[in-house]
This record gives sequence, C-alpha cells and structure tokens, in this order.
Amino acid sequence: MGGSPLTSRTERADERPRTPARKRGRGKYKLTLILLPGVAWLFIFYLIPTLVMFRYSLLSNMPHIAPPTFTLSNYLDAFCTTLYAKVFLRTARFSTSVTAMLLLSCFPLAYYLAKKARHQKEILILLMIPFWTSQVLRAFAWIILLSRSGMVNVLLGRLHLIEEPLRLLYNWRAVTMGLFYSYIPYMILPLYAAIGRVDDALLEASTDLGANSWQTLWNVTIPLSLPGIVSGAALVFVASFTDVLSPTLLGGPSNEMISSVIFNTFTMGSNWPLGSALSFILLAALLLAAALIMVISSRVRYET
Amino acid sequence: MTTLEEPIGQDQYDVEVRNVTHFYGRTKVLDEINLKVREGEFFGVLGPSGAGKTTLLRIIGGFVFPTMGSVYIQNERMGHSPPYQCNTTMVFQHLALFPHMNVFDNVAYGLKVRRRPRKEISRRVAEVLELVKLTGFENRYPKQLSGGQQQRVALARSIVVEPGVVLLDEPLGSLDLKLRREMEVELKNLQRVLRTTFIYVTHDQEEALTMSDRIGVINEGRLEQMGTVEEIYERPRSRFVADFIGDTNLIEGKVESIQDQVAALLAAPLTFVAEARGDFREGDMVCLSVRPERVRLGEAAEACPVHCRGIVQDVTYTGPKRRYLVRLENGQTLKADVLAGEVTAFTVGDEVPIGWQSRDAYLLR
Repeated sequence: MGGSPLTSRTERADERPRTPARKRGRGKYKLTLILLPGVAWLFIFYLIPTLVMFRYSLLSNMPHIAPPTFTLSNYLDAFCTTLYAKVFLRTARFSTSVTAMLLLSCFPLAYYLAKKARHQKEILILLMIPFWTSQVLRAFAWIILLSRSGMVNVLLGRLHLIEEPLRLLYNWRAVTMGLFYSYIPYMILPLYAAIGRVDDALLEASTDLGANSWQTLWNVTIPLSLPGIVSGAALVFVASFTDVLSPTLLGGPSNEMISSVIFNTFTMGSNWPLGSALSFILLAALLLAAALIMVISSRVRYET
Repeated sequence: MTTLEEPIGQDQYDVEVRNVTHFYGRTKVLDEINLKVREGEFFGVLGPSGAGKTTLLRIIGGFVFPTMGSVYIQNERMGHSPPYQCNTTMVFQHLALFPHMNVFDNVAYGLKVRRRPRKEISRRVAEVLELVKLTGFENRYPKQLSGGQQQRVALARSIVVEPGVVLLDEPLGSLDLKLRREMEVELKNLQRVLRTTFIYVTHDQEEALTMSDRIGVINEGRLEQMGTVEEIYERPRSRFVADFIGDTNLIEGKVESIQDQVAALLAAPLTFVAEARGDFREGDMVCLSVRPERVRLGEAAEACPVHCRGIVQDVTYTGPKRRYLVRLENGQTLKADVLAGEVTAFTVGDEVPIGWQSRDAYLLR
C-alpha cells in the first residue's frame, strides 16, 4: 500500500538508461496526456475547494458580515471547546467499535464465501443489492423498522414480549447499527478478495502438519489475508468517521459525530470559518491514522 | 483385483489400503485398490496423469475419505479422523510453503502447533535442516530460495514431526531435469537414513524406477500391478504396464501352440515365439511383448530359434546404442536397440535378420 509509489519510481529509474532519449520523451508526453484529465479534475474539484476552505478556516468571520482578518482563533476555539473534543472522542469510539464489529462479523462470512460457498458470485451479488439503493433511503428504512410504532415494536407487542414500545431509535445503539450496516460491503469485499487469494494447499499443509482449525486460522489464514484486513478496516474506519447520515437520522442530540457537527456548523450555525477549521482538524487526524495504518501494514507485509 | 502374495503378518506394514473405491460425483476415480506398503519402504505409485494417483495419496493422507474401503496406517484404521490426527505428512505438488514464514518457522510449524518446548523445537529444526543441507538458510523466506532449496524446506517440514509415513505428490515436477535427477538421489538417500516409509506419486517412470523399492502401477483408477522395480520391468502383467514402464514392442496375434510354457504366436504371415506365463490356451488372441534391447539383429538373430527378415527403416544414434526401426513382412515396425559396436552397423534399406530368444518375449492379454 504505502510502498508502491516508491517502488514504481525506482523501477522507472532502472529503465531509463535502456530506452533511447526520443522515445522516452514521447512516452512522457503520452503519460502526461493520459494523466491530464484526472489531474485536472482533482485540481479543480478537490484541491481548489480545499484551499478555499483552508482560507476560510483562517478568517475571523464570514466575509459578507464584515471585512474579515486572518486569525488562528477558529483552531483555538476548536481545540479549547470541550464539546468538540468530546464529539471527536465519541466519533473515534463509534468508528473504532464499528470497525471492530465489522471485522469480527465479516471475516467468517467472507471466509465462507471465499472458501466454502458453492455460488460465491451469486451470494455476493445478493449481499450487495441493498447497497445499490441510496444511503438516505436505507437510513429511513431503519427508522421505519425501529421507530416507536415501527415494525419491530409492533411485532414484539403482538407477541406480548413487551408492555410498551421500546426506544430503539435516537441513541448510540441505533447510530452504531446504522454505521455497521452502511459499511458491510466496504469490509466484505476486501476480505473476500484477500481470503480468496490464500492458496487452499497452504491450509491443507497446515492441517497436515498437525494444526487444528483454530491454529490454521490464526497462523495461516489471518496472516495471509492481512492486506485485506488492513484495507477493509481502513476503509470502514475512515468512512464511518466522516459519516453524516447515521448520526443525523438515527442518533439523538447526545450521539452527534464530528461530521454532523461540522455539517450543522456550516448550515445551521452558518459559521464557515469554524466549520472549515474543524474539517481541517478532522482531515489531519485521518491522515495521521492513515499514515499509522500504512506504517503498520508495511511492517506486516511479507515477501511475495 | 490384485492378489496379495505377501505373507499376512500385519505388523510389518505401515500402510494398508483395503478395497478402496472412490467416486467424484459419478466418476469412478479409484476401483478396488488394494495395496500394502512395508515399514521403511520407498513405494512408488506410478501412472499417467488422471489415473487417480493423487486421489489415492490424498485418501491415505486423510484429506479425502474414500467412498468405499478402508485405510490402515500402522495398523490403525483411519476413521473419519481429519489429517491433523493422522500419522502421515504430505509433501505437496506445489510444495505449499508458508510464504509469510521464513525457513525456520516453516520447518518448525508442525512442532509449534504441537506445543513442543522451544528448546526442543530449535534443536529438531537444526537437525533436520542439516539433514537436507539447508543450515544457514533459517532466516530466508521461501521466495528467496531456489526451486531445489524450496524442495528441501518442504521435505524438512514434513519429516521434522517424525511421521510414520511421508506422502510425496510429484514434488519434483517443477524442477528442471538435471536438478530433478540430483534430488531423486538425495531423496532416496534421505529416506534410507531416516528409514521412514515414503509413498511417492509420479507419472515419470524414470523417477519411479530410480527411487522406489517397490512400485504400484495405476491406470484409470485400477492398480495394474505391484512389485519390485525388476518384477515390473521384467514381468509386466498387462499391456499397459509393459508399454508404460520402459519401451516395448507389442505384436498382436493368435496362440498357435504352447509347449513347456513356450508359445508360438501367429501374426500372419509370421510366427513368433514367446514365454507364456500364466493361463494361455491355443487359439487365444493375445499380445506379445518384447523389449527393444532384447531384439537381436544380424548374426545374433540368426542364432535365435525363430527369426525372420525385415528392412531397416530408420537408425538413430544415441551414444551408447543405436535404435533401429525394422519393418517386417507383415507390415509391422519393431524397435531394436543394439549396443554401439556390438554388431556391424546397418543402414537404412538393408535387409536384416531379426529375432529374439523365446525367454526374452512374453505373452500378455
């Protein structure tokens, strides 16, 4: 993951003396042409807005109210307000536990799909179909199921298992469940791909040498599917960390996550400078996490 | 299928396969296989690809449970027990070394999962690595080793747990010819030192002949013949075995007469002689087999009781010997190997006497 740009650069350096200068020049020209649309896209729609946002994060107030001055007070506010720290920690807690839950529950499923199931592709497509609908729609589906007069409560009531409707929505459980459900494919697909690449003969060899199934799982299957585990966990962690919909639609006021807070700061609070500052802190935190994951995963990678 | 000539004294066998028949879906891949492998024996299972060799090995290894029949390892019947409870280890066709472990960890694996004390593990691994001449390679990863070295790691990993039986599934297949021949000798020597029972599956007859004490020849799921290397080569029991092991000439014909186990075979308009071992009668349509190196040409042929004449079609010089293709009157072409310098060389188009001693040929069904 982390090492790939580096290696490709050294490869190119190796090739250089072997290719004649003119051809090399043309190749470079072609490469530029191929990369141009993508780079331009990223530049116009990501980099420029990000820079604009960064400028906002340093402004003292919204420009249409009064002429702003440059200041670091937004960052100071963000760091010194305990509410934001609380929200940040809560977000980290939610996304960590969602990642862990997804890892634990998706690994067996992905293993079954990759190694045991007969109609792997069909089952995989069935698993993915719900995720072809919009995330908003799925969040509302949960509301329909879990609200006080929702299907779950009605059913439990009819079965006389509960006296009065349970409060299933607008708490942290609903938020975690919403996140969990939203990111199942993000976890399943990399795991499925990684486990599928583990050679069956290695599992047989392990068994043959006297390992029971747990030992085989622990010593062979998991280490060899680690690339999938790392990328799945990274995807889910980042995606759930920045999720807005689940906390907004399924959570109560005490379950807000950082992205929903940023969203509200921009829209309801109309405080773009503070929102921008919070966004950049979030970005920095996630970059740090990503860097950490890369370092760890480059350690665990073996020679292939 | 195969009668068991060995005396029945159970304790001397490490592996016993009794009436094993196996189906994959509706395809019968093994048909009533019976075989016994002696303790400390190097047993080769030889057959063309798709004959069922690997399936047989996987059944012995406990990876596959046979549809019918049973397998005994060291007099213990293998039930539905998984491979990790069996006293066998397998050297896989593509070796299946753990890519994320170095040589030491690969070899130590079987001991580690058995929770042996650390000291014992490092001692045993060092011993075994010395045996396969890989001392000093402990920290290398499989990808950093040559094919031959990977081979040795796979072998070391299998023998370190001191199994009763080591099963080898064409492990030398991926090596180039020269290295393969070297490894064959090493493997055989190693087996002699360890005195562990080896069952070696291959489709390469030379590999099987060099290493094995005894061989079982499998074709289309049936055990065609089992015996020592000499027995198989000198006294093949079927056309398939005669043709598959070594090189042979097969002549179809009708038994004209049998006297003192010597048969005259009519393949109109010629008559040949051959030994008739077993139950043959006059009038049977059978097949005569004679090895190219037993076919005599020229004066040597004229000394044989029955001989005829043929025309040399082709001569190939292969160093120590010449191979002649000689066309007979009945249109059949026979292969004859003559040691270089044994007789005057013939050239293409020569008419030569051709024949063989009756004991050098035999009848097959």
